[in-house]
Formats: sequence, structure tokens, C-alpha cells
Amino acid sequence: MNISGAIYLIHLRLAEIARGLGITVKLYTNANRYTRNTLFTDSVDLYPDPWRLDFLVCLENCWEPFSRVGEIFCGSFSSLDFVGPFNPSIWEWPVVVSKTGPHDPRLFKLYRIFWMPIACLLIIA
Amino acid sequence: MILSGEIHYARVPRGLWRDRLLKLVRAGFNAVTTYFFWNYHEVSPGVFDFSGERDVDEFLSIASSLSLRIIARVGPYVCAEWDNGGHPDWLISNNFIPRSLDPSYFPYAERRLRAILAKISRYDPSRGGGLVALQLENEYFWGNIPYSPQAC
Repeated sequence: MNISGAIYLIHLRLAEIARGLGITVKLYTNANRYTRNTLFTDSVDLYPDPWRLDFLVCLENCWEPFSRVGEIFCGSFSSLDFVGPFNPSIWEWPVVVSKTGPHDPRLFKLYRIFWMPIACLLIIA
Repeated sequence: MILSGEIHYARVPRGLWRDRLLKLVRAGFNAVTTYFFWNYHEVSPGVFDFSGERDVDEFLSIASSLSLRIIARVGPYVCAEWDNGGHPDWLISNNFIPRSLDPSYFPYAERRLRAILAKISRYDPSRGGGLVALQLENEYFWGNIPYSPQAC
């Protein structure tokens, strides 16, 4: 089996489990080109540096028409001496995601790191 | 149009869930997105904790009571700036092949996925709920993946 097939099989098996448990909504993943044009919607996860709005224009030109999604989030991290999955600190995780379009959305993300992580995800209709 | 803010229940004390979700509504959003962290719930092999601060059903129920739709990001691996991307420490100590169909990993991932989706599926629209999308895996080309020598 080639690499793309093996990767897709994992996602396919996960999808089968979800469907088998009564999940009927759209399935998507994040940053996996091998799932594109399958039952999954993929989101593109990119970290442009520096911030370039003309990158959006490139994506508009390079990708077929797709829905528009926007996401902005910031967050917090555990203190370095904390033992455990996570200790909520004073900063929480407000993330903004906007989605438009009645059809299958595609997603891509644009990240920019400030003094705390801030991300922006947009999908162009 | 779906306009969603992302609030991770595991990063907000349970006592503030309603407050934060209400703020989301009043900020103009109509949906909430959240990760579901594997190691936050399966505290030891086969033992799942969905009580108290880990009561995802309560979080989703509050969201629904506020007419928020739900986008669920269940992993198994989620990255999310969370320890091991959600993989439990007890699993890692088993010398497993992460994020694969290998028997050292996938049966555990499936067990956990079935446990969390049993909670989330109650909010599927087929059962009258407000779930609108489900994310499986996350950023597959990050971390110790077994199948790809290539960058995404």
C-alpha cells in the first residue's frame, strides 16, 4: 500500500466508526491533502510569515470555488512546572470561526504569532 | 451562515461554562467549536471520567440550551497545544505506533472514539441536536506519524 492509501485508510476507519455511531453531519479534518476530494472536507493549515493578505488572493486563484470560513483564536499554555494535561490559566481560548456557503466547505488557516497565539482561518466562497 | 467561536471546556472551569457560552452568544456567534481531549477522560486504560469538570454532556447541553450549534473536534490526536496532543501517558508508555492502524494503537483509539462519540452523537441533527460538523484527526503531518516521510 502506498503512503497516501495508508493515511486515508486511517481516516476512513475513523469515519466508519463515527457513521456507525450515528454521526450524520459533515466530516472534516485539518491539513491532510490525502483526504481531499473524499468524504472528508480538508482544511489547509498554513503559517505565513510575514502576514500577507495577498496570500488569500493566491488561494482564491489556485483553488476551485469553496465556502468562506474565518477563524481567529488566542489561548493559553500550562505553566512549565505543571504536571498533567493542562492547567487553565488566566487566558482562555476565544476562537472565532465563521462559515458561510450552503455547500461543502473547504477550509484553510492563516496563523500569526503575537505575544500569545492568534490564528485566523478563512474560507473563500 | 454558521458563525462559531471556539471554547474548550477543559480549559474553562465548569462553573464558568454557561457564562462563557452566553458571552459567545451575545458576541453574535451561533455555534461553538471544541476539542475533546483523549487523556482528559481516559484517565487509565478503559476507565473514562465524564464527571464534574469533564462532563462534556453538560457542556454541550448548556450550549444547546443557548441555541448554539456544535462543531466537535474529537481527534484521536488533536495537537491543540495540549500534552501529547491528547494521547494518554499510559498509552505512550506502551511503545505504540501513534496515529496508525497498528494493533498497538488503533484499538485504543477506537475504544476512546466510541466513548466520546456516544456522548456527542446525542447532539446529531438526526436526533434533534445542533451538531453541524465533526473533525477527525488533526494536523496529521505533525508529530510522530508512521506513514509519511513527506511534509504536507
